[in-house]
Amino acid sequence: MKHLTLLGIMTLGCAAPSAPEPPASEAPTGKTPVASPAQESGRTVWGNEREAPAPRPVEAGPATPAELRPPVNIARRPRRRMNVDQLSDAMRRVSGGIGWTNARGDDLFESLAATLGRPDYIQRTVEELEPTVLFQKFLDDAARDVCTRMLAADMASLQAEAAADPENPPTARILLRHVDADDTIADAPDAVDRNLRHLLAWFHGRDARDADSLAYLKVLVESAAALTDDPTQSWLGVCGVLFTHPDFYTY
Amino acid sequence: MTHRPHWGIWLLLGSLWTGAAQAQEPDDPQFCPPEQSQVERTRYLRALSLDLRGHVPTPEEHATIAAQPDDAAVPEALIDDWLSSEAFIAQAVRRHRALLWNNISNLNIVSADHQINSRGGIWRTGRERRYRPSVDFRSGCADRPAEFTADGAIITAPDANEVEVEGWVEVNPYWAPESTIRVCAFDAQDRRFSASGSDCAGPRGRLDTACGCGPNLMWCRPGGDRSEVRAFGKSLELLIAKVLRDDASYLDLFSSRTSFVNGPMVHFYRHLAPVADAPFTPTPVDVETLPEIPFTDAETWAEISLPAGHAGVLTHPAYLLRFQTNRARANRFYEGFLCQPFQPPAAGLGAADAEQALNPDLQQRTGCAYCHALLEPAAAHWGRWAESGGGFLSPEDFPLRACEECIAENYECPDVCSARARNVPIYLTRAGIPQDAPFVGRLRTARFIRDDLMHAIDQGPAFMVRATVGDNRFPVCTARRTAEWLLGRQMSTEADAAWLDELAREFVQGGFKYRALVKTIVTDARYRGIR
Repeated sequence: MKHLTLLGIMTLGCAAPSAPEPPASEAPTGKTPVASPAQESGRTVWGNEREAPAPRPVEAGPATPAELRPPVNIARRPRRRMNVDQLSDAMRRVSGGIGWTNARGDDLFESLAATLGRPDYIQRTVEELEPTVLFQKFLDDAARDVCTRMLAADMASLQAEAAADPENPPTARILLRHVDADDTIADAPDAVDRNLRHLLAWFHGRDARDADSLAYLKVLVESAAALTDDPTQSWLGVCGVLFTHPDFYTY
Repeated sequence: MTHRPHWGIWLLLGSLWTGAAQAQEPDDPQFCPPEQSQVERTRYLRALSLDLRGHVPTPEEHATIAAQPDDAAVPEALIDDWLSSEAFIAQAVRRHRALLWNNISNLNIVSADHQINSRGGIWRTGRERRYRPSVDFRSGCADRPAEFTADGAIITAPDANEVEVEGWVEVNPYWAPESTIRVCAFDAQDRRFSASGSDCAGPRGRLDTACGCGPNLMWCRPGGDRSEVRAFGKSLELLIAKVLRDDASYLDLFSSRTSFVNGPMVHFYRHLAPVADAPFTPTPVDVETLPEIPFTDAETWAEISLPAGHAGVLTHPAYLLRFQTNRARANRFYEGFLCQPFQPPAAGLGAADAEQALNPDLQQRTGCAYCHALLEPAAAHWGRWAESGGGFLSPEDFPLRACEECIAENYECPDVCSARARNVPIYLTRAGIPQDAPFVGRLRTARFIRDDLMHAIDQGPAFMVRATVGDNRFPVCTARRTAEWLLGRQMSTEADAAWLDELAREFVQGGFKYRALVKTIVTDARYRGIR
């Protein structure tokens, strides 16, 4: 690209605007006198007068960077679904250590690993990484379970903050990081926005720099609050949506 | 405090996603994001972290990258750190599991005669009918202490079925040395040699009623226990991890004479290998130099050096037991590491005529030859390794043509010519069919191998790997497999092929460093872009 830019600059250097203006006596007439054989050393020119193109002024704009080679159409990677180990780990990390477990404490991602595509290299030798309907169903189950417990943990933390009991210090809140339990979009729009940005970065690793990227979550927050008359339920919904969104389980 | 979700929330989520699914159009950016030449830096970081470490970035890592200017790249030092981490090694080992299929936990390599089980609180092996002869019954011993004659012989008495049975003795088994169990007296016999001369620690011990499970039952294994095969699978992964952790040449994976053993493996090699159903004799390790790790210690792993002939993962027991025939071993290597699966052509294979159909040499039979002309010589590289097992026939003890001369000249052959591995003769000592004639006197695995390819048997799988490095198949396939793993797609375009050549060249020039190969791929535009 540097070479092309340089070439462009050189071309500009040769362009008409930078050339000295011809003297008035040499102004173009449309006809050029034929040189006599004696006037062109080493060359003989025969014939009568010939038409010469009239010089035209050229306006060059600023140099535009360009690739020297045409763009190569390289095949990029497709989005991939997390494997079951990545998914289980990601959910625990995002939830602050809460895994998808049953009442006995069994890790359900582990119990369902074969169903969710992990090969055992005995019966199955290829890892299934399609976001199948079955996968979506179990992801939905996992999200409901984990989100419910995340919200409960945050509510407990809010209570601990309010009680200021040194024996029972609050833990870091995740779903309610920048909002209180009663905050709504109408009452605290900035806090809600801030919390949504935090959650988008926390769950999806995505920076929400513009308002549009929060729009669908705001609709959900408002709808949930209106439906349940309980602002905290909105965050449960946001949590579920973020876990089941392709930006969470694909990369 | 419990905070129950309102029923309407899940209904709302359901309707939201149902609505989304109905509204989805192929080019709707909300649901089908457009192809991106470069993903956002934070999303790139997330993909890198998931592929290299198996987990999402920490909030601190995310914040650090997000705070940098828009045009800043993910720091190379961060990628290097991740590639040096144990988390990356775990990911790379996981990836190699997909190439080596080293899960053999379903295998039972010890026969019922050497498995011991508790029935009604008394332990016995599967040798009931030898110890307690009966046509109609598989009897255990009586629930009473065993009695012995003055010279130590076991006294029996008829049970309700008129079968002569003995009582039990108390033993501290090797798998739980602190406990005492009751074992039928015949099964608990601990002499090394029987009166008839049988080595009770060898394969003939099971046939001799004067042989039992040995001291502390060391020649038997609790039924259902698979600790040694699980250990084999883990041991192979430790070798992969070591090569990657040391950032050694990737070729070491296929030539190393290092291995790892734990308690169950040490016990297996010392006491169970000679009696195992899967042939593990001659034992492929130097038993005398094995470390002292008790059977009960499955978590301690010691590094050991293996004798000549070993070729890293390709002669590891986990590989040999997962792919039990030499053809299967060669086939997996060709598919996994040379990207050359043995597949028939789209037009199908030609049919052999009646005469050819009887040709036992598949390299020549029409149709079969399409694959076997290549597969048989490749399989010969495992010619010194027992099929269905892991025993190793060293060139010193088992010369390739040990019996050719004595058979041809018709004089007495050395003992080795009649050696057998689990009842299968090691040498071809007579021509069962006319086509066998040129190969009589050679190792059985040399049957139908051309003279000019016979060297493969002595040089082993490591030689095959070196040869495929020389012709560039191995480096290109390693690049292909790694790219397919990280990009999540087949590498099938012309541009891909050119890139793979480039990757392979760098891989070779850089000393076959796997981490460097991975780094080149994940920093390439093909990885950073997404569609």
